[in-house]
Formats: sequence, C-alpha cells, structure tokens
Amino acid sequence: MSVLNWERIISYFTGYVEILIRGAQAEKIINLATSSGLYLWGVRRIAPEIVYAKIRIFGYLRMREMVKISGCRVKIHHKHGWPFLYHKIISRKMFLIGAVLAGVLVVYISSFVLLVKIDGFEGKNHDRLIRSLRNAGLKAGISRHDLLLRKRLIEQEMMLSHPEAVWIGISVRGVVAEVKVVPRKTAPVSSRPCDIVARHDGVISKVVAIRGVPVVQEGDTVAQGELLISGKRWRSVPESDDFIEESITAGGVVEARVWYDIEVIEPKVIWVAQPQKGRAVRYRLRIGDRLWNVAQFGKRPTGTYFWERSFKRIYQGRNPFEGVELIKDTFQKVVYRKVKRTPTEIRQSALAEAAARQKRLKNITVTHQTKSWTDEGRFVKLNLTLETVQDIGMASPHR
Amino acid sequence: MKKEMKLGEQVARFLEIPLDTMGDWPKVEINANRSVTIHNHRGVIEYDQNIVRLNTKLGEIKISGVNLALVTAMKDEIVIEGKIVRAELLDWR
Repeated sequence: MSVLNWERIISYFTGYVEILIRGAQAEKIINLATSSGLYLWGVRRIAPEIVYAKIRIFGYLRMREMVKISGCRVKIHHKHGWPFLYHKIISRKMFLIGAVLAGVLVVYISSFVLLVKIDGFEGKNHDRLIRSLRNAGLKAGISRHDLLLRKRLIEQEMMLSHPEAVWIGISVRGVVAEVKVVPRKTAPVSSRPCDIVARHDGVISKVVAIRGVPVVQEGDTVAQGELLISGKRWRSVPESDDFIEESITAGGVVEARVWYDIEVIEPKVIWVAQPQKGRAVRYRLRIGDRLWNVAQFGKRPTGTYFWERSFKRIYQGRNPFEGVELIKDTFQKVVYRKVKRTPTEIRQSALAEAAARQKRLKNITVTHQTKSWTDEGRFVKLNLTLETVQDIGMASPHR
Repeated sequence: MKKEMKLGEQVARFLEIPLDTMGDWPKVEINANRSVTIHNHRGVIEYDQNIVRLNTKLGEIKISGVNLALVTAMKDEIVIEGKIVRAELLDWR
C-alpha cells in the first residue's frame, strides 16, 4: 500500500473536512499550510477565486492564524471520517439502542431450539416419538445449553421406551434439533399353522424338528416345495380313544447338500471402444432447480462417443434436492474395433463373471466346486457347480 | 552561495555520487501526460486550472495543462494531476 493510501486511511480515522478557500491569495494559504507541516490533498480551483481542498481536523484548527495572514476566508463544505460518524451515532441514541437490542435478540433467540426434526420414523411411530420427546423435555423452545447437557440421557430414555428403534441419536445444528432413528428390521413371526417345505432341491444331511412331525430323514433326496416337517399331528383323546387332527406351526432346522449351477458364455471376438481425437469437457453449476453453464473446453464430438457424468457436491442443504453441485460432462469420441481375445483372457473374463454371480448367492458357504470348459465355436462356455450345506426349510401354509 | 553549490557538485561528481541524492535540489517526475510529482519545492507561486507555478531552490517550474489539480500538497512534495501539456523551467541558475 502506497504512502498516499496510508495517509488517506489515517485521515479517515483522525477525521477530515472539505474546505472552500475564498480570496485572491489562495496560493498563500496553501504555502503557509504546507510549510507548517499540514497535509492538504484534492486541491482544485473550482472558480476564479474559490479553491476546494481537504484537510485533517487538527490542520483545520491550526489554519485560523493563516487565514488572518492571507486575508482569505475558509469555510467547511463537508465533514468526513470516524470522529464525525461516531458523534452522529452517539447523538442518535435510540438508533444505537435499537441496533444493539436487535443484535442481542438474535443471539438470544439462537440459543434456543426452534425446530425438532425426526428422520427415520414414519406414521404412528413418528407421532409416538414426538410425544415421548416432548415428555422428556425435547421440544421447540428448549435452550440449546439444556439440551446439550441432557442429550445423552434423552437418547437413552428414548431407546428404552422405543424398542422398535435400534439406535436414536440427537444432534443440534443451529436452532434445529435433528433426531435420527434407525428402525429395527424384524421378520414377521408366523403365528398361523404352517408346514416346513424345501426351498431348494437337495440331499438331506440333518433334520431337527422343534415343532411338528419330520417326514424326511438324512440321506433323502428332496425337490423344491417338498414337505419336510408337517404342521399336522394326530392327538389321542383319552375319553373316547379317538384321534383328532391338530394343526400347529411347524418349526425346525433341515440342512441339506444343495448344488448351484453357474453358466457363463464368453465370446472369442469382441468389439472394443478405442478413444479418438475429439474430446469435450463441460462444467455446469446446479443450485436447486436452476442450472447454469460454467465452462466448456473442446467441441462436443459427433458420431460415436462416450458420455461420462460426474457430480461434485459443493453445499449439502438440509433438503437433499436443494444442494449446490458442480456437474462435469465428458464426451470422448470413440471408434469400435473387433478384437480377438486370447484363451487366457477369455478364461479370466469368464471366471470373473462367475465370481460376480457367485457373490449374488447370499448366505451360502461353498464346500466343494467343479468347473468344466466347453468350446462352442465362436464362444467358450464355463459351467461352475457349487456344492453347499444350508438350511432349506421354509414356512408354507397347510396344503 | 553559488561557489558552495558548485563545489558541492564538483565533490559529488568526483566521488561519483548520483546527482539526485544531492540535498535539496528539486526533482521532477512526469508520469505520461497525466501527473507530475515535484519534490523539494518551495511553495506555490500561482495555481489555476490551466497553470501551476512552483518555486524551487534553483528557479521556477511552470506546468501548463487542462483541469490541473493538486492531488497532494505537503511541505516538500506536491503532486499535480490533470492533462499536462507543457513543463517549463524558468529563470534557472
């Protein structure tokens, strides 16, 4: 920063005045002022006998003697700087009090929770949780300080009183208290009479009937849907020596050896995209529903091209649709060419595909597996057989 | 007085001291035709929108132009802004 700018900044804080010097010898007063060390700036002659200039407050006070010597008249045109502003603010007391009160009010209001937001529960559970939170003290109007002190206690209380939630967490963001709930996922308990039937084909290796009558034994081969444990049993009536049929909810564990077949067909010749000269990158900015083009490098290719889009979230608003994000589109010109694959590549690709499909078979433990490769002209076929032992029992209504 | 100055100048030349460091000699800087900065002046003789005349130790400097204003006026430095047309040195010793 130059010396002149520093002088102007200092002048603002010391206060300065715009003056009008009237008289035939305005130069004399300028010389007297400068020679006695006063700083004048913005000196302009605005009329034949009127000179406009700026001077600091203390300089103006010292100019009285110079005015007498030079025979000119000096008048303040305008006042600038912090001392004048300060005086103006101080003289407007109500304005000052209002500004301070408004600031204090904003700070005071922001020390309270004004909104309670629940994320994770819906319907009846949502309403019930709101009521519980209110009873525990978490409601609009509670002070942030109190809430932060009792946060852990309220969380524990809510988790005890709401067994349908696995976890409840409270976080305070500004004036919003966010209650995050992770609902419990439980399988519906079957209370109606049912049988246990086979989910898959397999060879039975273990049968444990908890309720009901087992109808298969170890070593039996069963097909999908076949009855394993019956939910019907006959009970004798001592008074009449008769038997009556009783329907119960069958239950138990039926383990069996199960085989899964995975078939993968891989072509020997494939089309591969090769990048060519011709690439364009476009950046766009999205704020809420509005979209703006920011920049584009290169011309968008024509013909065959790859289009890749990536998002960079800049601001995550409270509502996920109201975020600010940068969208990058990349257009790459490509040409497809035939490529003949080597046997190793074909095998690797087939195995990778088989492994990916195997991953989709959830909750199985492979005990044994066999692979077989077949050449079918333009294709190579892989047959993968997986052997597992698993519980194949499944509840099914009485037939 | 004249002899002293000449002697001082001679000594400066002998010792190869730059002349712009010589005591209170006036120094004039002209930035294009927009502003003139004059150091070591000795007061304003005349100030008008078209003419500014300044006194210095060695003589008078006359700046002619259009809409001339004294942007800064201090004890030993003065900055003139406006459209500068001519700068003259008058009655220099």
